[in-house]
Amino acid sequence: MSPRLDPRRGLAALATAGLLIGAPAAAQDASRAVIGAPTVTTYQIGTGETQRTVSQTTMPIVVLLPMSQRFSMDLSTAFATSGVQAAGVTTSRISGLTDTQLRGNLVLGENMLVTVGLNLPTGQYLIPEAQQEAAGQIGNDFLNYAVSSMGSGLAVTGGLAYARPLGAWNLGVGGSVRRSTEFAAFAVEDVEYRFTPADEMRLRLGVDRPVGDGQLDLGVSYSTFGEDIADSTSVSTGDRIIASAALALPVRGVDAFVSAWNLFRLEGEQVGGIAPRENVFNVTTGLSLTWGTMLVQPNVETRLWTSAGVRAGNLMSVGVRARVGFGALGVYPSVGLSTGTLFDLTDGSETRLSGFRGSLTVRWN
Amino acid sequence: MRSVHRALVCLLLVAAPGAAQRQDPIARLEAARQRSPQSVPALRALGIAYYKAQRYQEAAPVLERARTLDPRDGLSSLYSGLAAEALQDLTGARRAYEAYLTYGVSRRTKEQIRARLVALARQEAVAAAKAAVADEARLATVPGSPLTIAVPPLTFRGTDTTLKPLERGLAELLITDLSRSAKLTVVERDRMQALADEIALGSGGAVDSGSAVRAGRLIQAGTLVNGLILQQGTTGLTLDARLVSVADGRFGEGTTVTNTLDALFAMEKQLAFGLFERLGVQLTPAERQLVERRPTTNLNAFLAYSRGLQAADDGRFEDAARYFDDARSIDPGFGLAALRAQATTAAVQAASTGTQVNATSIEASIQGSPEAATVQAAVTGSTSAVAVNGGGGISGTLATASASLNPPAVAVQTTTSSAAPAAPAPQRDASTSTTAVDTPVRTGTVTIIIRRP
Repeated sequence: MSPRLDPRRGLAALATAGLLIGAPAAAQDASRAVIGAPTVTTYQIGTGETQRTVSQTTMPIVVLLPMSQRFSMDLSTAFATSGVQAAGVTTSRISGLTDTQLRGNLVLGENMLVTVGLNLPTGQYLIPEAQQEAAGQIGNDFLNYAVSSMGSGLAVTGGLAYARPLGAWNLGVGGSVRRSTEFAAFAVEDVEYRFTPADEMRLRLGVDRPVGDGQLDLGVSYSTFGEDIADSTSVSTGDRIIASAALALPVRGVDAFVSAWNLFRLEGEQVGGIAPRENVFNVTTGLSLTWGTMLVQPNVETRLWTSAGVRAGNLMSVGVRARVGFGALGVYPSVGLSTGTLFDLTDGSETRLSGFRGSLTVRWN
Repeated sequence: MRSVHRALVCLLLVAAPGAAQRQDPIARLEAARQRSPQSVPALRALGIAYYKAQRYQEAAPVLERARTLDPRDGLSSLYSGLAAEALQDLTGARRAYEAYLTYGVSRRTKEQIRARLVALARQEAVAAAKAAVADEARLATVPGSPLTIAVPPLTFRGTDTTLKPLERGLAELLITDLSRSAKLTVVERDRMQALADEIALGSGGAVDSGSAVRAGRLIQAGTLVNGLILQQGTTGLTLDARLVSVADGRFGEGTTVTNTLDALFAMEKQLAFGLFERLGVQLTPAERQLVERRPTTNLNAFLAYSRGLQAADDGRFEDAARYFDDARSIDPGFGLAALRAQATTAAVQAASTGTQVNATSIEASIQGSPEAATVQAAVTGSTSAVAVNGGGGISGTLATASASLNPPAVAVQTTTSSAAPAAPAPQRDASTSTTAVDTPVRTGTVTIIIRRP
């Protein structure tokens, strides 16, 4: 007998799929759409003469292609320019197209999904010394840049997910493998260094269930890596565990939500030494207020970072996002301000941190 | 690299909305129904799409079919109710809405429906009463079945006027008890009241036993229960109920019970069983068990409830809501009172805030609820239950798993739902994490060290 499907479980799961993991909307909305989301992100680190500013301007493009009821594709890429400034002088800048990702999802039967991803190497790869600082800064797990990598080489991802009702819950499990190829990554003193990202295996376990008119989602994913090869040096960065929880619930006529994720990276190796274990915890609370067809969503986000068990940073952000619809066009402006502290891991000294992020997402159905 | 860029541009062009000829969503759903005529998701989606396209005549039977196949499908019931309302089928709308109250999931929509049901029941009863009075000449010649029973309010005689509301409260208890038998068809209280009001309106406000018989005839009841509540001293009470033939107005033998007011509920049960006996109805053990159930055993709660019924019949809905709420407070287990309190309060609140509760507001209330995704999917031509592109059910869980297993390189907030956005967990960037250049720079410079062999 086919298990009875509960339609309540869909919405928040779909929403949090995008919210927690940043999925393009292929998994969220059934219609074809093109999405552009110009975004500016700036962090000012330190004060006075030692202050550095790391800023990024991006123009991501996502195309959603539902091909049939069971098969959908999406394509995403971005143009990004990132720079580091010290005392008003740009010390490093990198600009260009990022990699392009083509993904396909196929539902088999009622409970199975096959996902395939192709990472096309359209990004800027060979990074000369002058651009390396900027390229490195955006890859950090603690700060929140729209584009964290200019490229990671030709890669293929294949995955399989299975879901079924389990009492009042829906249970989803799955696994995926990503295989990458070698590319020329760095140039130091006119010498090119080749880099081959390690193969990645990822496992995922998630459950969700309706709670009143809302939805509760819990999930954990575990990623383990082979050895990255940087020229002749091979290292194995630590495995990563991402746990997430989200609760969306209407409260007195207002949609409220709280979501959290915790990224824990086990100790691993990096070129030149040990990569200490690292933990980043993030919690966001928000409300959705509706005025006619306009939606306004104030939200507060807190992020804590520890490295080798020692506090490394904290960040609090206050933001607001709006949704305005114009027929087939949906416009989502958002702004956010951040403030926080970075801590020196050896002496605990503090460096002030402040940030701004603004974006204007436009979705054309 | 140039060829890759060229391929990318081609893909973007092919992918652009409108570049390809899209099939009409309704045509797609009709095809889905043709492929799977017994599929509830397909029927539900098609019904919703028809409703959205204002094709109510087509929506109603499709949604009714979905409800028949799966009575627990709340969304089919909701849209079935909306379609029925659009077609002025008030009874159909009420039944479908009531099913949504049982099986639907959106609390806001349920609140709207409770408020709407109060108005709908009244509209329905008044419309039926007007139609019956207008058609009296014909209806008077069509005898009702003796097993179709109407129970008008009982008549109170006594000095303690605080007991007068029992006229309506006891009538409702008798209606509930008589309805337990599958052999009887019992006219709903609201219908009977609306007809009595209509007749009273036509006769200058006078209501007598003749009016009740006339009302019974118009409502096509064959038998009327004529009840009397007689106060005996300060604590004694006599209840009397007789069956009246609507065809000729003749009174049959009655059942009379006398006891103290404290034993009111036991007396009512005796009356009910007496009526079953007079009607020649043999109850099954299960039916007998149901009849023996008491919605409350608290006299004060029941008096408050009865006052609520009286106030509602008089059109004093704020008073009615307060009385029902009192009844619920006195006896929290009094489910009937809780139900009436909820419905009447919702209606009063809606009226006081100027909120118009109608089909449009009911449908709007579903926005942001978990069911909205299924409706949205239907509008775009998806039956949704297992659609990869959205909708409810397992597909949501699968989509979440898929997004986690094969995450995008670019994190763009693309959700159109009303949930607020949260920043996604970061993905690993292999080259920067391996070379340790991804630590936020505080001061100084970052050096990449890659050892040559």
